Amino acid sequence: MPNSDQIALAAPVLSKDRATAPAGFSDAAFARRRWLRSLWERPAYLLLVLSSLLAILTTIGIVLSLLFESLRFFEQVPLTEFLFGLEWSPQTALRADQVGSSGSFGAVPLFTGTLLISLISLVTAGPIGLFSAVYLAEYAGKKTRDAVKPLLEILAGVPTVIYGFFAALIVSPMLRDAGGFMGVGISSESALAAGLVMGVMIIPIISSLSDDVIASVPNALREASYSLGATQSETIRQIVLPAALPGIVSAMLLAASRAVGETMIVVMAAGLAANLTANPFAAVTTVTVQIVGLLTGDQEFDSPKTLAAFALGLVLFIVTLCLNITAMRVSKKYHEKYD
Amino acid sequence: MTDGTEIPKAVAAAALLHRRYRAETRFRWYGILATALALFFLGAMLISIVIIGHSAFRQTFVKLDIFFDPQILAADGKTDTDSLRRADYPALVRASLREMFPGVSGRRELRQLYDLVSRGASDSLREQVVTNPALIGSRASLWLLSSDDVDLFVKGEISRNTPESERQLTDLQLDWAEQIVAQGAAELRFNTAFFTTGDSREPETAGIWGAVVGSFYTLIVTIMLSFPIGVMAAVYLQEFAPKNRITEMIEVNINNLAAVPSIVFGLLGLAVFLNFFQMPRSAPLVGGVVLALMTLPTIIIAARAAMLAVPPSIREAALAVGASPMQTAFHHVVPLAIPGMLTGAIIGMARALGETAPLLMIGMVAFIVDIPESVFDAATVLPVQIFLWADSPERAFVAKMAAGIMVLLAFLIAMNLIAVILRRRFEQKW
Amino acid sequence: MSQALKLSGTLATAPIKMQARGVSVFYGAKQALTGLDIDIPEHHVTSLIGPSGCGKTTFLRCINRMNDIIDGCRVEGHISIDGVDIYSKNQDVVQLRARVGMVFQKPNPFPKSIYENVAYGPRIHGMATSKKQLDEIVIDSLTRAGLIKEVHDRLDAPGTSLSGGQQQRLCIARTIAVKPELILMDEPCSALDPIATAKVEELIDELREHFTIVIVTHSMQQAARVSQRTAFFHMGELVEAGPTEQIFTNPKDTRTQAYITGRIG
Repeated sequence: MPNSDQIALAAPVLSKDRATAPAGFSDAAFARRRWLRSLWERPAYLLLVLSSLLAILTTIGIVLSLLFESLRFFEQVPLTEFLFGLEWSPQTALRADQVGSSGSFGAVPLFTGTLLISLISLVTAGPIGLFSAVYLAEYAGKKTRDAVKPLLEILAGVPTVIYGFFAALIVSPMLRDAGGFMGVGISSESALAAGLVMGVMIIPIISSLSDDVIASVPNALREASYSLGATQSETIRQIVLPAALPGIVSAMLLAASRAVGETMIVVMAAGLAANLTANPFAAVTTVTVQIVGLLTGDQEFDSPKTLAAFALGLVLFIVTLCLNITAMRVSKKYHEKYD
Repeated sequence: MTDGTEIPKAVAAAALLHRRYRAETRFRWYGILATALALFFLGAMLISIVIIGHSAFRQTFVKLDIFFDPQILAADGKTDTDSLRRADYPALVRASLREMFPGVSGRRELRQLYDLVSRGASDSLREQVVTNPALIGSRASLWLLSSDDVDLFVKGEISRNTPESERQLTDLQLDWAEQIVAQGAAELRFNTAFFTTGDSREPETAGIWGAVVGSFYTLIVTIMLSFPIGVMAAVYLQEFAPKNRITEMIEVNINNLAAVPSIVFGLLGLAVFLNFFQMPRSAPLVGGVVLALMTLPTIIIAARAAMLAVPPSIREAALAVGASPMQTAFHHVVPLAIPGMLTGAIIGMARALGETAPLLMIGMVAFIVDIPESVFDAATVLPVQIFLWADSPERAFVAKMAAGIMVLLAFLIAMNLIAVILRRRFEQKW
Repeated sequence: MSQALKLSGTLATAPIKMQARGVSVFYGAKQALTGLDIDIPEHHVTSLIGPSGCGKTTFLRCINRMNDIIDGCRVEGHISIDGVDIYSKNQDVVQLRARVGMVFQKPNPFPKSIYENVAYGPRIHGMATSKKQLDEIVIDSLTRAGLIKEVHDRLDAPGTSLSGGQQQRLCIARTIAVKPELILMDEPCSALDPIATAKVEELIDELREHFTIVIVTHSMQQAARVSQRTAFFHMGELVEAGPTEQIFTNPKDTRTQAYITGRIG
């Protein structure tokens, strides 16, 4: 037995007389269906909005939790000592109630260690990433591009624990032995080993982003340069790369942000002892290594060691946020010029 | 333009041209070199993993004559499961070893002798007797797991030339091991236990199954949270959101979150989920929630791109027959965008599978032997297991770690392949 | 029109700067140009006219071998400048392009200063040994392009800050800075307003004194205004070439007649 809706739909639509119009097309039927729909549509819509707000909620959550715990830390260890102190040895501070007064939460060696390793990684990845991008975008044929680009993407998808393994078990010993061979003392946890491998990890970031930027430089500029009798390398060096510079700078900043925030490679290949030095052969420690070190182990949540980790996390978050925002601004400037 | 200075001008011009072409060739070679170097690093990493790790897929077993001595196993006559479980199985192994090398005496030497066989050997004997108590009183030649050091020897990684104090096997042990090999009583077998057991203190009995199950549970939680929320957020932003400050803020936040270091998410998980909400430490539930927050931006961005690819004509047609905006979105646009969304989700999951740092923060760094049975049990994940093995002093764990890496890579390759195939099969050209 | 008419008298005696014989161009399997024969006289303006897609630009780009850059493009036949085959193995492309300049349809100044735009070419060709020499070349080129009065006080301003017509004249200045013998122009005024167009056409007439010019144009009126010799292209073939006046008043081929009267194109 068909229901009233089906009867209504089967009946002819054009009915001039309201009284004899099929039931399904009456105002009442439409109104009822609309009311039913709005019953679930409004909460569903709300659900959509809430899902989107989750992004903001997460950011707020991150900022608040980092801030909250950091403030508790700074009640025990003054901010200036943290930011400008030169000695970092959290273990000694935990003895009795001499919390922080021995000056062992000075994070400067961590900052310099992070800076040293990140710089090494950028110096490694910069030329390799940029030149491979130039080659793939300007010189390589389609077959080469189609073969090589996915391979470089693989580099980007390799989990960092694998890079850590490579750094700790292959590159570090190799460097140490090479150093011994040449009479130079290279630590088995050298910044150079960690920095080199981290550089390999960020090659795809620089290469892929630079490739996109170089390819999007308008062809009209290249044609103008060729028509004046310039070689391809002259065109690239003097016309294309300067035009693509904001995009390339943006890529470098994003790569730097990634390097600063990287954890596993340095946890496995860099040292634990804070060391204020610029020597790439020495062992240094970074902000991320210390965060892991302070939090993996059995401490109560409130000890200053644990809280110090949050303070470090806050610094890390702020620094990477600044790098990311700068990168986005620079990139926007470039797109405004050419789009 | 013909004057007396033309010839030298021509020569200078030719020299300049030559220099320019040389610079061109050099520049081109820099590019090729850089690309080749990047590919070389990739290849070197993969090859070194295979070289170091392949030996972990095989494990040494030694053939021992075991007498299931009723005096040891059931001295008081009791043969119920409990008593059988509590019997001294290592004694059976020790007896067998003494039989094999009758001349050995003295406590120190005997201890070295007993160290040739793994502790796991007695466990396997226990299982056999408990399953089949009729074995008591019989003799059998069984292949049992050797210790990790003997395993290293059989794989050729211990040499006599290293001074004894730096070696894993003493001179005596080396002699005995060589004898065992000479008798044909040592065999390398495929290490199925690697894939079926959890972590262990001894390298030879350590397996990856616990980590695989832990990863599985964690990723289930991750995808069940991040996919629906991500798709809903993407639908809102793409189909409904008005162009105002709030929407802009949401989009800026999403882009920022995508670039926040993963360890910060771990800190968030620690502070909010572990400390504030008191969720169980080291559980896949917490790990899944943290990873879901990390993967959310990726899924939202991929879902939006998938919906953007659906042409406006579809939406217009739906609206024209009277569908509400909600119905248009969910009955028409989303189904067409599902392949793209799924691809993005799989790629997001692949990235989440390889994440280590945030899970260290929420406590997944503990030594966990049991296979987890639910999302609430303490567990570890593949990359953390690899990391833990990297930290261990025993040399044999190095091979296990590399083997674990190969398993992880196998999963990642499989997931990415599925994503690529999905993309190819369902790619629609409008 | 009258100026062009006046000078057409010298056409008959002008030496041939560029000669093309049997030129065919293929993009992959598709043939864009068939069996082209043409002579380009020195110090005159030759215009190439015809409907869109008939091969005019393709031929133009053969002359300075810009088609070399395009993948899958094949050129057959002979093109010689001053009697030298430009497609021969020992012809250097980079030097050829310094002798044959090109101005494009849409002005494409480099995102550099006005000075740098003009100085780029002379610098890479080593045409100046001192900054002073380079300055002279830049000022001279800007003067010849009729741009100097408008930019003399802001040579450091970006080239992209100029108006459309000024940008095109900057591109012309950039081209003549490397002292070419032949200048190719691909619809140089199609992106410009009428006033800018008039200025560029005036410039073309002045440049004729020192350079040989080949101009592709969509506008018959422009061809009639600036050129002394016209070649009509249709569907990849050179249909007819001759003095401009003759082409427009007394074309020999029916197709030319049809194009000029607006029945095709």
